[in-house]
Amino acid sequence: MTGDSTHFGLTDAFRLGLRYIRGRGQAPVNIASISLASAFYAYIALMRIGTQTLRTYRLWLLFVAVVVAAVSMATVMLISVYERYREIGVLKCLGALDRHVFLLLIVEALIQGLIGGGIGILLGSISTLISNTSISLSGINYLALSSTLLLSTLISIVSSLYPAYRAMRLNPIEALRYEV
Amino acid sequence: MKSEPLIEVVDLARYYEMAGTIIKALDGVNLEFYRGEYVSIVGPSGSGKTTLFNLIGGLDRPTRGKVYVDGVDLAELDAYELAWLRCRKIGYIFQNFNLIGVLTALENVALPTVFAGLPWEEGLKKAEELLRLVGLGDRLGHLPSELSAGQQQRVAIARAMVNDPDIILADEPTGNLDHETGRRIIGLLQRLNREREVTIIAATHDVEMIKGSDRVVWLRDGRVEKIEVR
Repeated sequence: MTGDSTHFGLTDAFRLGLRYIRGRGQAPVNIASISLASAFYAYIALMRIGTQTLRTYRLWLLFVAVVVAAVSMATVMLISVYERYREIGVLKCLGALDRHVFLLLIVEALIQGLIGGGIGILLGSISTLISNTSISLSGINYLALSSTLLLSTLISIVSSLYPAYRAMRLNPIEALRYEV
Repeated sequence: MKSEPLIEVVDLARYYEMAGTIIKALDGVNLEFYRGEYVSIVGPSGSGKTTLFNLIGGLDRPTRGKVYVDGVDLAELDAYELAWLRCRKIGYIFQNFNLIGVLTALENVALPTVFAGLPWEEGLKKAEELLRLVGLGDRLGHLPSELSAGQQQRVAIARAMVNDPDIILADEPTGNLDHETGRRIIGLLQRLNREREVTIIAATHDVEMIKGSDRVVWLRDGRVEKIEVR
């Protein structure tokens, strides 16, 4: 044998990850929770700062929104790993390494985080423009807005670390015996 | 028979501990498989067929004994080399097909070529060729849920063949199929065995499926009961 190993690059992970996101029911739930949290973040980021108390109060609300989104995402990703137990076993049987499985799940999280963040930015800016007549489209702080994407991908990836680790460590023999 | 065996199994044993008792799934099996052979492994469920396949495929480590594939001792290989072995040398066919539900027939067959390092377009081309070979040229874009059981098993066979493996391990390939469909699947496997000279080891508990085998290995309670040369 050559000492060579198997391949599964970023492009491959994106291709397979997109199929899973499209083909399974959980992705919309993840995207919805991330977009709500990031819409809220975008809304707050765009606000002209009021009194100190109001600012602290909003930050607390934001914190809660982020935690709720992260917990929900972690739960949904874990369910998605359990439901795919057997298929992950099959991937390992076909030559996937542990790190390939890990990469696949993190890329899925990344895609969902980006989509959720995009929707969140849209929702957040629209609600800002509607509720705050003193801010116009040209007056929007785009730097603050783009930090929303950073937050959404971060929530998504961090909350998927444990589910992806579980998937990676899965024993293919047990996984192939597993009945859903 | 040629002299050098493709797979050599020496005094192979695999014990499991379950609730304090030791289960001897395999208990001292000696077997040799030669290039281009079609071997059926027959035994009731629990006789050790799946355990044997898991050990030959490097998915599991033996309690005792050795497995050599192409002269290489699997115990000497690390996780990376074992993944390479499973990807390039061995094709798997399962009782319940185990296709990826979100991928089309074509993409399912092309998936192992990704792990083998082939560009996606090339993999798809190879997959299409194989799906035509197994008679599914008109089902390329169908999801597994849109295919019959027999068609799904054909897709699985094409997937097992796509990286041109030396060995195909088929674990009860007809177990979830009706009799007629099962016979056709076995016929397809035997055709591939002849035309492509791939070594096929097929486990079954259905003695009707062993017709046309070069050899039949009878397993019972983790031991070889007899070997029948045909």
